[in-house]
Amino acid sequence: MAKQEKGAVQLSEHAKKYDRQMRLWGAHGQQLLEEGKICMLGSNVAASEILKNCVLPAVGIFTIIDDADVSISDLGNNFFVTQDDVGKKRAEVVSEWLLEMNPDVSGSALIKNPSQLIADDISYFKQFNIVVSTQMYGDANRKLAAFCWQNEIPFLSVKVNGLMAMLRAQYPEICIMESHPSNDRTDLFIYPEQLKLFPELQAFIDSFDIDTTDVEKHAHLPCLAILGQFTQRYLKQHENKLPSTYKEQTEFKDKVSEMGNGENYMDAIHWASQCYLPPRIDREVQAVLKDEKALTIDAQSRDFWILVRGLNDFLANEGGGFLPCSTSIPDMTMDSKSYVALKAIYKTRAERDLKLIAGYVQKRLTSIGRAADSIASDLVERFVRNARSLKVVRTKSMAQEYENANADEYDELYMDMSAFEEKDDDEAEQPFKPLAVNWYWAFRAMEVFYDTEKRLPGDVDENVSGDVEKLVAIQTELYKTNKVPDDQSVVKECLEEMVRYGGAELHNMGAFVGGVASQTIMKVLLRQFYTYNHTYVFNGIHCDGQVIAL
Amino acid sequence: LQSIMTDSKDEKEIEDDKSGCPALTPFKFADQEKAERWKSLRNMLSRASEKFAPPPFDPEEDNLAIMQEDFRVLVVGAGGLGCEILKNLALSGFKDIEVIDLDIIDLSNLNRQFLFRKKDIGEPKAKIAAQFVMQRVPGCTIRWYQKPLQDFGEGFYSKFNVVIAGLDNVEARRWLNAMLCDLVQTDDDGQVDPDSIIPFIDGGTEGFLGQARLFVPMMSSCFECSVGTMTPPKVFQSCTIASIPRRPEHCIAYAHKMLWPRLRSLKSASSYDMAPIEDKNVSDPNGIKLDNDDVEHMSWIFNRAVPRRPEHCIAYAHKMLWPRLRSLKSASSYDMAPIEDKNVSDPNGIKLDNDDVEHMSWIFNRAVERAEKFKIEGVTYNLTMQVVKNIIPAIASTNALISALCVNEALKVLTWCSFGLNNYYMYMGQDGVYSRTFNYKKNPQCQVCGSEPLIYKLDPGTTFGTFYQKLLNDPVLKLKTPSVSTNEDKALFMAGKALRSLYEENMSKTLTQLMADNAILRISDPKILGKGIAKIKMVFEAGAIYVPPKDE
Repeated sequence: MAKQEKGAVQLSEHAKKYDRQMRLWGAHGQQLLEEGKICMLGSNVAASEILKNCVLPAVGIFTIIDDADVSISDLGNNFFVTQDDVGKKRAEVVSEWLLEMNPDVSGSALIKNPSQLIADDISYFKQFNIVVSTQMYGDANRKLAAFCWQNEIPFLSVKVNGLMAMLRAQYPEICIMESHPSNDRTDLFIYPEQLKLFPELQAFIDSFDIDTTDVEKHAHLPCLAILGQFTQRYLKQHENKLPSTYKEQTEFKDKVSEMGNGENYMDAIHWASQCYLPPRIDREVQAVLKDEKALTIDAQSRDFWILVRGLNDFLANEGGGFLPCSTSIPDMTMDSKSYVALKAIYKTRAERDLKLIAGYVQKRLTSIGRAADSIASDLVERFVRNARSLKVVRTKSMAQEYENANADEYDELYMDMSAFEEKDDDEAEQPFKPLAVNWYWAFRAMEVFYDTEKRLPGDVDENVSGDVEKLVAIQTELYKTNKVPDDQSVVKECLEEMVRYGGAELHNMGAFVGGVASQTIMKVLLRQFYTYNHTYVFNGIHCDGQVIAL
Repeated sequence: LQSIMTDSKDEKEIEDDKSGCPALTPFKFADQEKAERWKSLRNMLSRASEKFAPPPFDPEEDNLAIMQEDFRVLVVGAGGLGCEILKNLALSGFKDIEVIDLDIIDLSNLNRQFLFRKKDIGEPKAKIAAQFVMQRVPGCTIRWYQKPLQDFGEGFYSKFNVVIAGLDNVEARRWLNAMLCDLVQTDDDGQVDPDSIIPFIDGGTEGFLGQARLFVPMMSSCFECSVGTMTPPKVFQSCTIASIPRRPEHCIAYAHKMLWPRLRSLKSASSYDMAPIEDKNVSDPNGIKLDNDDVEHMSWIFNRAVPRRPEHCIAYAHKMLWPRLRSLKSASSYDMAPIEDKNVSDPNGIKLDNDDVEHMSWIFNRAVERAEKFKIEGVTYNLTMQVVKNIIPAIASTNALISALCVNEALKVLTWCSFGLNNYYMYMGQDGVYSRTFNYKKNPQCQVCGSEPLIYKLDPGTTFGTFYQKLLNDPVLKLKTPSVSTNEDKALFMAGKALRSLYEENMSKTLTQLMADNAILRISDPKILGKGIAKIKMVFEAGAIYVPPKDE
């Protein structure tokens, strides 16, 4: 056969269609997404909008559970019903119109009352990767939450009332390898203790004459050579002590900048701190490394924890306490040849570290009775590459939250939030603005109201004033049983506003939670990016949202 | 200096293939329109709330009818945000909507622009979006235009009660903002006529990040107030290059900004004489003026530019080799001008089409060759697309939540049923669901809504040409094709091609020859400021060189 002439690049339709999102989470993330199974309780606005944003990026399968019929009022707020569908089963109609958007996704409807299904056959929910309930105020929602908690199924409970929304996320544990931190966590391995363990890099540093008078050479001196050699001189001049005070560190940088003014010197100043500050392991990564589950593993351990165990073995041995070397290095000014050589040095080192960690992982797997190769090598590789961005999220269970809340945490919450509120000197009159936690309690009061009345407050005009009084009484009681600090009084205006909305599902708020909830579902399925902990309260009056955890 | 736009064509609404209004879908249950269909809006619009909906809100049963009959909404952009905005408006009860978008549908839109299907690829976005929403939501009318924003004048924009933008670029936002600020009328006492204010709601997303802003023209801060704090344009200051190391262009910039000024003579791209680094006399007037169109000049720069990363190789293929292309049958069959040929970037060159696979593959293949030469790994087709097209990642969820907030603000600001956003909502979804709402303050020196001119302190002996260069690179003004005149309407420079030559001689004159100390200059730029004018106060001070104010 003739040698393949380099022609036009052929990309699959799949790659082109999902290009804009795969740039965020990669092909491996996309695959996880496409294997995801979502259970949606309800076929209202919020449910439809959440699923819309899951179907578009091609989440694998969804099931909608609802027994409601399409009504004329659905034609005023739900985009996934048409006027020809009035009278049909809404879950079926919504499912059909959702699937019309994207043939890559499959989904179905189960015509059952969600609360009834929870009462009759709760084990049904075991088959899903994530369960989402919408507009469920009653006891059934808490029962479902408890079941999901026991079975370690991530659970989301979404509520919209008028301009208010609350999203409660519950997951016993989400292990995130790729948290995509926004801060740069590059470790160049140029701290003297690290360099001792990395002779190849030391040799590279020493191979340059940093005092050269040759213009081109001077302009292309790698910043690592400048920094590495300068640090050696500094140590000699300072009784082997690295700069420790701010003043000394500033002097260190000033000295570096005096040596030249090209971009390579700019680079050197940028990375200078890595010469005198020991590489810091991020707080959250440290927590993962020290987690109980990372120290003692057994046959039931998740792959993630076995990998962390292997990483800990490496840190205690060859790693010398330093996280493994990365394959990729940032751009730095130097000639191409040096850059390619430097890249190769780091790459070789990173491959060595990976091999060592993979070895430890295999040993650990054998020790717990699993096959040595039972964790795929590409997963090990991805884990090691992301060792600097490991993160674990654990929320409280809904039961913990509802049975007893900690008064100390309240104090902190109320304090922090009032301190967080922005004071505006310019404007004389500020619109009235309660705290997010006040809206949280208003939603909680609505749940208790629903438990006793089996309807939402303010559903019809006649009930408005009476329902406000009932809610005030309920919340006063809630404050007592939950030991809310005495100086916090019930904000009646929040309850009045909740009654004013009367349970209305405004399309915009449904669409808003549709965005936030679907993004959370995405992150849970991807095991990438940080998923919040644990309640997002959004106030559409002031367009202000906040995460609170009680 | 008058703007090129006219209002005449707004008066008659011409039906052509670039605009239209699909047929209305009648609502089958018309008798239940009021009582049943809009139930979700009814409580909020007809129930009182002392604290959260103070007067002028009046809780009346007919608030909804007023909103549906009287309010006209303009949506600018029918892409990721625009599709959502149109859906949200229709399901918030708005019935009279118009949408503008120049773009056509591409396969890569389908992962989020939910009104489009595979069969729609190549069709105008505005048209398909309007058709879809009108069909799904009976009783709603959406007129669409596949035209640039700048094709419409004051007569067009002034007929709307609110404008919502879901745009992907800063320039269009600035133009629209200037237009809406310009529409605000003031009386002789300087009092603003509230009826002339059209609230402007702006949404924007990038991956997991998003923002929604509510502008009340001339009352709150405007879009232009914050333009100075946005990412600076492609000016390669050395610190920028060092701090944003992944920029493909930066090693080119190294050759351009650091080595070029040291050039003493240049015979050809490979035969030259460069001053040693110790020589401080760089960028002296005897240096060689860089000519972007001179291939020897550009080749010299590219030969000095050392590629290290795959992006550099792609940039080389894109910026350096593509302009020399004479013909291209396919990615592997083409004819390229030899480097000696001076006729590069001539009008007969091939226009690069980012969406053409052959074009992009050609650049990719050349980049691979360059990378192989320098043993650089990592040039992929994907990266090539990213570098050349400057692709911004986009997901459905962020677009959905930002668009929802935009329309929520429109509903509140038009009906008074609740407070308006004051005035900036920022969403960061990458790390949890962190969001922040704050008041972005009015900038008194804002060139659109502010009253104070920018101050340029310059040596009176500075040439007008130097001043003009500074103006072009001003990080606050961020202009494209500025024209300059004095406050007395004496033109100093006109950017139009035909007029340019008339004012060319001013470029070498000194400031004192052209204006007095403390003179106010009027700067216009139809592409950026619309009909608006930026003002600059010229303060003469011996030895002064204008340094633009730094971002906070």
